[in-house]
Amino acid sequence: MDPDRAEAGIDPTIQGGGPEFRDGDLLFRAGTADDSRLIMQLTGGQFSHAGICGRAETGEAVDAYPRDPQDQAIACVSLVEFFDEHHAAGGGGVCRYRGDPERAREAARFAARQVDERYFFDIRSPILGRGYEVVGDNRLYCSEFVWHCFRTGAGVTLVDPRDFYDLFTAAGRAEDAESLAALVRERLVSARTPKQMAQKATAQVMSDPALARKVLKRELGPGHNGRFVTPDQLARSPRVLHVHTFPARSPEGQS
Amino acid sequence: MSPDIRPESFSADTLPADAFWAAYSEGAVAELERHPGRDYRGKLDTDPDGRDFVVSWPALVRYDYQANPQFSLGVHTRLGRALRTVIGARLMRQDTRPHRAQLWFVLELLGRPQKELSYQELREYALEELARADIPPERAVAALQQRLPDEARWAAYQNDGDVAYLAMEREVVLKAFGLLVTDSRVCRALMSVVENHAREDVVTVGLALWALGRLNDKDAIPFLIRLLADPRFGYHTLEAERALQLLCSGGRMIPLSSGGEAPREYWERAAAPLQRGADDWARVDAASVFWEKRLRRARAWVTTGGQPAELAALRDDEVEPVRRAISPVPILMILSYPLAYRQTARAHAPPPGPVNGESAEGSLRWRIEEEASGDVVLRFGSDDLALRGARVRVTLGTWQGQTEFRQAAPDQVLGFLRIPVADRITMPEGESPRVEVHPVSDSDPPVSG
Repeated sequence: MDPDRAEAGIDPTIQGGGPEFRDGDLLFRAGTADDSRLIMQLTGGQFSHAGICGRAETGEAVDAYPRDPQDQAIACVSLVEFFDEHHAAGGGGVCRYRGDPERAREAARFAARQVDERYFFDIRSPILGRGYEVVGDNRLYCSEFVWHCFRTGAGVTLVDPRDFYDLFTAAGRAEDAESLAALVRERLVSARTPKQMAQKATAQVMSDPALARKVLKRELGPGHNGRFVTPDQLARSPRVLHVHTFPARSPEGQS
Repeated sequence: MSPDIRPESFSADTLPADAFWAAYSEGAVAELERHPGRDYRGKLDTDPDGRDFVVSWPALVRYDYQANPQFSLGVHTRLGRALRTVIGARLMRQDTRPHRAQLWFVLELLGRPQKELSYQELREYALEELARADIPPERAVAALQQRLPDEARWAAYQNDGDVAYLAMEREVVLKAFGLLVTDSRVCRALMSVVENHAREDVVTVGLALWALGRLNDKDAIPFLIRLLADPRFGYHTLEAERALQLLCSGGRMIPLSSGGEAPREYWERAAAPLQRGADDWARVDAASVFWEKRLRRARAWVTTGGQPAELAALRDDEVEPVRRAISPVPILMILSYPLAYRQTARAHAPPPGPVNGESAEGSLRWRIEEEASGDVVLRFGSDDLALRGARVRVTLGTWQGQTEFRQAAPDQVLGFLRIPVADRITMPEGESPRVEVHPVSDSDPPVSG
């Protein structure tokens, strides 16, 4: 590592230079694909995806992501890949738990262990409530995974999960909520749908509010007993410090 | 992967049983009626067209309940057994600080000393100690009361989100409380946690509300309705409504409030016609759309007896764990203990220490003790009172011994069998004894001796 940059706590292997990562750092990025932009629009935030630094020493992140159908949702990826210009085209950020660093390390260890467990990506996953975790659940989504690592793995509540309607209909974003449901339905939930078809369906639903409304009711009806944690909720938690920002790089990209 | 419960995956008039139970456990069933012997009829929350679905009775009977962990939680008469269910579940297998704190809390309730142990050893230690001794609910209730977070603890928690300030180790007991038979002391302890919601972590309150619903103490109904009027309680409205739904529904599920009416007014109206005595509630619960309540009834009536028609209905219940609770099936297991005795091998060795174990599904415990004379005493115990009078048969080679379960406590049956050393000498070496427990049938003559 370049001694000057190392002294400044910058990792030159990351595009544009990153911070000196620590185990348990919260990782955020913004994609520029349709679904990423929609998530950011709906959550009123700047990030579309979240992960956790599983092992800083070896440059590993752990995240939950809609990978191939029937595949394990949680995987270990390099920090370089997590923040590369393709996945983090819209920029990124790194936050750090303010409390005891050992807690962040415990969250990181918990994250790494989940790579061997069988999970499925599902944005409808009720973050709490299914039998109240007596038997556990095997569905989750990216920011829920990070939240779960801290709560279950380290005994730290970073934020209170929020009700879907409260979260997405706040500030008059009801129409957006409908679009999110459409996205959930067509792109994220239905991992069985081939990606190309899903993208087409997403674009179609985004341009049809009536269809979006219908999908919302179907997917996240009033009896939906789950709550959500979004990437931006985690990034804005008063219990974390913002330690680094990655600027946006190109207008194209995926997340 | 979870069964597909999207509306397009089923036709209007049939819903497969696995999709139905997935929707049921996710809270995605908006309306439901149970027609014993015929079908379930209802609507899914996730269907915008509000189509009716039907699940056929044979499909519900055929469903593989043993493969779904939701149906393995059971209803327990002993807190120790309920805690073992929680600690034995998948989530608690992971070594984390909160899980360690929960295990130490359980050991503290048991009065066991702290030890230097790995997580795996700690978990096994807790499970073994719980198999050996029970925790009286009043002891756990008092411990919860002592740990109720106050303003100072809440302020400390706000700083860094560390749930240790809020005594999150209580969660293991709250979960276990939800699996206990109805108990007013336990209900009051759960209500204390919910009442303290302004100084509790949201997960803890949600858990207490879940347990209140499952515990099925009807005193919780007015308590929950009152809380729905508190604007500070708004975060937990849906969880409280789910608990009320479980507590109040009979053969037709009372839907959640739909937004047209304030939840408190809605539930006051829904609960008003439900002013019933204990016997009437028992009959309503025995025919409820919620299998968890029918299971409770089956467990209770095994002890106290119920009306013949209702007992017969539970014996024909579509959910296997309910049927088994009232009419247990035979239990078969192999004891890993060398019963065969050889004089030369034991000439100078002291008898081995007692050995404990339990059946795979956990309903039957056993203990083997060898005396200095070489005689062996086998003790069998169960919290399942439906096993009262059941025969326990032990077989090894051509040797066979038999005993009968007798009620030894309000919530326990015991049986014991002495095997004289003279019998052990005749037993084949290298084989393990086989145990069969046969529930009583009306035609069985009593076991003598």
